Amino acid sequence: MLLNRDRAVEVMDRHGLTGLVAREHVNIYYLTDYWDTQADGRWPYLVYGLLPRDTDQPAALVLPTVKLERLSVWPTWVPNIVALSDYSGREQHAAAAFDPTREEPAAARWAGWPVRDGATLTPLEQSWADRAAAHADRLAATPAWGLKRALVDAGMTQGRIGSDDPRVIEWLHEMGLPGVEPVDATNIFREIRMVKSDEEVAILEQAAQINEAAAIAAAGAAGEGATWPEIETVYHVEMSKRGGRNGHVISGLGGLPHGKVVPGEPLLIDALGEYRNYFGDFGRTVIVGEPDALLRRRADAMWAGFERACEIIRPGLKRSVLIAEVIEAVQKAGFDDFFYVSPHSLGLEHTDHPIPMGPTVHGEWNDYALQAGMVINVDMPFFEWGWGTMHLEDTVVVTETGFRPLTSMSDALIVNPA
Amino acid sequence: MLLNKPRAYEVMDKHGLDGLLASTQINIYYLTDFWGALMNMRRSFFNYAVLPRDENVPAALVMTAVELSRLVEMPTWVPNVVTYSHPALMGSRDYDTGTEEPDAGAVFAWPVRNEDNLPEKEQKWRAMGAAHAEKTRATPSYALRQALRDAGLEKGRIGTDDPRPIGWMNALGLEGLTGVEATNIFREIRMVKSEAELAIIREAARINEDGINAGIKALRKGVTWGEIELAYGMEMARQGGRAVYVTAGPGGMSHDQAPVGEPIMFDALGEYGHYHGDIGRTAIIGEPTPEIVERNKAMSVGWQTAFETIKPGVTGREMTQKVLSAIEREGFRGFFIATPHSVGLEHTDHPIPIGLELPGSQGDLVFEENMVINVDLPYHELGFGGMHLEDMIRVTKDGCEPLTTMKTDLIVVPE
Repeated sequence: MLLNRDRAVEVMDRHGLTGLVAREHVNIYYLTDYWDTQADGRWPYLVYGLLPRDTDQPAALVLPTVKLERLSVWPTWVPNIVALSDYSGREQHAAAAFDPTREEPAAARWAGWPVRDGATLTPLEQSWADRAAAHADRLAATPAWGLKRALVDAGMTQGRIGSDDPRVIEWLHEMGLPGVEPVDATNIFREIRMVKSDEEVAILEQAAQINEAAAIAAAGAAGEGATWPEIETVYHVEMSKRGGRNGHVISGLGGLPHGKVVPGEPLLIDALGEYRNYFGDFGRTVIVGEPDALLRRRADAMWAGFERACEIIRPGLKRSVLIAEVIEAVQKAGFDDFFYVSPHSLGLEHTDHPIPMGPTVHGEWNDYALQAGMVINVDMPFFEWGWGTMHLEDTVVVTETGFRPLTSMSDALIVNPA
Repeated sequence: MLLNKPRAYEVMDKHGLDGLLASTQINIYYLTDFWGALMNMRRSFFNYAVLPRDENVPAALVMTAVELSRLVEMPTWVPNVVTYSHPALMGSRDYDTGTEEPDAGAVFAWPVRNEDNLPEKEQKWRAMGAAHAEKTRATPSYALRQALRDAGLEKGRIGTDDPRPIGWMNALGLEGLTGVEATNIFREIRMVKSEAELAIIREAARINEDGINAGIKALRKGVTWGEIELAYGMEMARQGGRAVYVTAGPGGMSHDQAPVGEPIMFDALGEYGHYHGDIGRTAIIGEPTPEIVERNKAMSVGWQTAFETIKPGVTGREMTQKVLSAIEREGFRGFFIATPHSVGLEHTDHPIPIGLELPGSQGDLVFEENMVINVDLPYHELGFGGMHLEDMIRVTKDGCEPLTTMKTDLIVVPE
């Protein structure tokens, strides 16, 4: 189970919620372990996840009936599966008139794919047939009607419901649930996800290793004359080879200053890639040819800053203190111009902790303290126009007494032969 | 410019909108041509796009000042770029956001060496930063408010793919703004592609077809689906694309390892330039039975029927009926799904019911020139196997043009 349920309950209580409704695919996945192909096709409002605060009530997954088979690939722990008959291809189905405050619209029929007479089914095929049969007589007409059913099943017919898309809860007002009150839970989901479950840490560790290996391969391809698209392709192919999915690999936000790699000018490699929808994030400095004394000193100083982070990372450490201590350590080690460190929680989002939304402004409220189970990146970029770029970024999981690295914490500087 | 501007104005007029506000990544990209690093990080509400209906006021992109140099490589056509500062450089005092606008932080001032001898690109990046420094606001919301004010949109009906920013703008003093749910309005606009979109989609279609062919090439007796996924993903990556999925059906392959003599469905969805390519094929290891050959032939005839039927004015329902009739006539009884869908930034890039809307409430899909259409022809029969056929076409003035090769033959892999 990806979900850190104890934390979810604690956070829901803090915000006075009777439950959570997930519409964003990352949050559906987090609540249910289920990742839908429609998530990949960017199709919103087809699948929902639901988590009641009351742990005796059933959590639910709402999904199209044709996707029931997919549960054999992405099994869910949630006990209440609500299947709906509406999917691409059934849009012609015309529902009879009904009163939405008292009745549900009729669903289209779906009893599963045909079965060949006399065939011996594989265990997977049998499981698909069983799933279709189990749901055939109780399909909801649409995703929203399926969600309403899931809420009723969980006793969530009134009260404050947190959702990453509050308009979904508004729709329920017109579907006979006038007592549900929407609460924007985009940051509430982040607050829960910020402290990882063991299963999440295991995936994040794999994501970190795959992403680091691909980034190191990309760094190795940054020889004299290499262009950024060539380096990107190496990264993307190496991610794919390891079962990951490429996000981005960047060297500054505009690309390479000379349009290609030149000897003697440091360049940063910052790689963000996915594995099972969780991010790996890793950064290093690359140089073609022997580094000069200045670059070596700066790289050593950044490493000293990271070592300082390693000394102090433990539950209770404030983000602001971590930033100040690392910058001080880097400067003390001889890198006076270094001024920016950005620690961030990592997970289903690159920045997996609450951040300002709407009129809210950064401030004391989001200067979080580290907790055991958080996965943290210490992000240390540096740019100097006319000189080059540098980066050092590793991933660690915070433990009760300190941390455990998820990346290899390899050398800060990667030297490619001239 | 990705945006089909004339269509956007036509659709805005139809819905009585004074402008569009995009919060989701694909719609920001569509309106501005900009895709930033924060968008790769799945970070919501840190970029926005505004398209006013009034052609004489400026469209806008809201983005972090940190990413301005990206605009040199990925230029936007919108004239008004409004940035916000990085929090690390903001002051620490508390603000009463009900009465005052927080001060923006300083521009990220990276040090400079040899200022008179900077590479041309670095000069451009610095100039880009300097050009926008004056207008930098404290946060994305304050930058959005500025963008709306610059466009004279302090009041009016704004179509938006997320209603929350409208509420935030109301709270920040733009009380005359009303939000109109525009998830499907954006799709209605995007459904008919611009030339720039078509150029990207052609590449997406080609690369994705190469990807599925690489996946099929990896098919041999005993292979796992994971190995096929790797082959597909690596080919996509090699060509600058991004694998979304290659699947043998919703539940995967019916055996743990590829079987001999059983048709296997391949359905591949991949991205290039954030646009989708989508294709389907059927492959088999070993000699197919006559039934499998006949079924594939019937599906090929169905596809050909779709290709010959689709033209502006024809409805999806008409096409579906003709395709299903043709497949049945060819002897494939029980075949029952022939689904046309528009393809683009979403897999299904046309209006579809959301919320309280019921199936059919969006009316028939009516083909128009420059729509990109896939016709999905999946079939599963437990104990038999899976089959699929899917190609991409562009609707032309009087018919359609293939974007994939339309090689609909059954793919036979020697045992």
